[in-house]
Amino acid sequence: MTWTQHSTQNDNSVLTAAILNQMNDNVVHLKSAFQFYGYTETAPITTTATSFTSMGANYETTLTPTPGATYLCMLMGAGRVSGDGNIMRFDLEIAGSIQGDPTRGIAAFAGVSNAGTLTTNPYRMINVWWIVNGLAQVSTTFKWMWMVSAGTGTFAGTSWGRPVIREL
Amino acid sequence: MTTWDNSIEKYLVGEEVNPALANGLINNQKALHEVNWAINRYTGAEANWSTTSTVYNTPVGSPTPNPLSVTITTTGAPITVIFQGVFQGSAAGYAFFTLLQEDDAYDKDDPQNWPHYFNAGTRPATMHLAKLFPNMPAGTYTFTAYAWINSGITTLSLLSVYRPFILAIEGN
Repeated sequence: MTWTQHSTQNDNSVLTAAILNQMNDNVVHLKSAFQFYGYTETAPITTTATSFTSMGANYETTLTPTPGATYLCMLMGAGRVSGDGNIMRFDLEIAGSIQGDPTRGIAAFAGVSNAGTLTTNPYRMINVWWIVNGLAQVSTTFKWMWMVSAGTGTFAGTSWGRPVIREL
Repeated sequence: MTTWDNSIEKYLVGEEVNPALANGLINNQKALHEVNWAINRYTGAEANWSTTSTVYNTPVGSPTPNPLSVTITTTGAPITVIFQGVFQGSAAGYAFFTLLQEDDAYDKDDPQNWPHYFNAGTRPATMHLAKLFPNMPAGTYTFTAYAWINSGITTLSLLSVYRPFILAIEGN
């Protein structure tokens, strides 16, 4: 249901069925505002890119922002990067503009070689959050981006997580 | 941003359309749609916060705001606070993290204060904190991210280049 901003009511205004129905539609919009859940993969994805590149179509969505709306963006899953000390980085591109530092992004996870009982280079939980508002009411693409400093980065959204873009 | 108004009266049976009530309803719908939130997100030059404290404390440094905190005004609704930042220790070891409301006392039993182990201290690790403050009377509140070291680490840095943020969202 699309959000519609009402006109101001004045003395002697008549509350019409159209206005009341519009107000009801807005309540429905507030309850069911846009949410995007990506992920249709059957296997973890990998990257060896050393500059930010899209995580793929399952991690992208295009929408026309609602006037005045705020969008909470979350990437949740598990990941790892090969090579002790290699770093896997994440960022979000909105309408062609990367949100974090162009070379380091907004989140970073280092590969580790664990001694003890853990396996080398274990999967770890990965969460990345972002919030944005004031977007123009034009078709806008959100893309989750990633890269590695070296080695191979792996992200498993398959059973453990997924990207989310939702209107608050 | 449209501000929520608690003072909207209710229509009475048989009452004629009251513009103040109708507009109040419209205003509050708009306030819900626009969402009241505040964020402090660092986008300045590279200059980290850090701490060497072994008791709960705030990482401090030259970046502004110093420490990293956020202030929000509520009309009497729950507040969700979210922090994201990339930390780096001087060596492998434990560090603790939490979010606190101004004037809150540190509660060592709060699950938020459970330790995080930095496997390899000189490498970055992304840290998230989220906390619901459910019973907030109308007023203005400041929330701050805390971090302190426990063992192994001598200096814990919050890396500004990753644009750490602390976000407060009012409402359910």
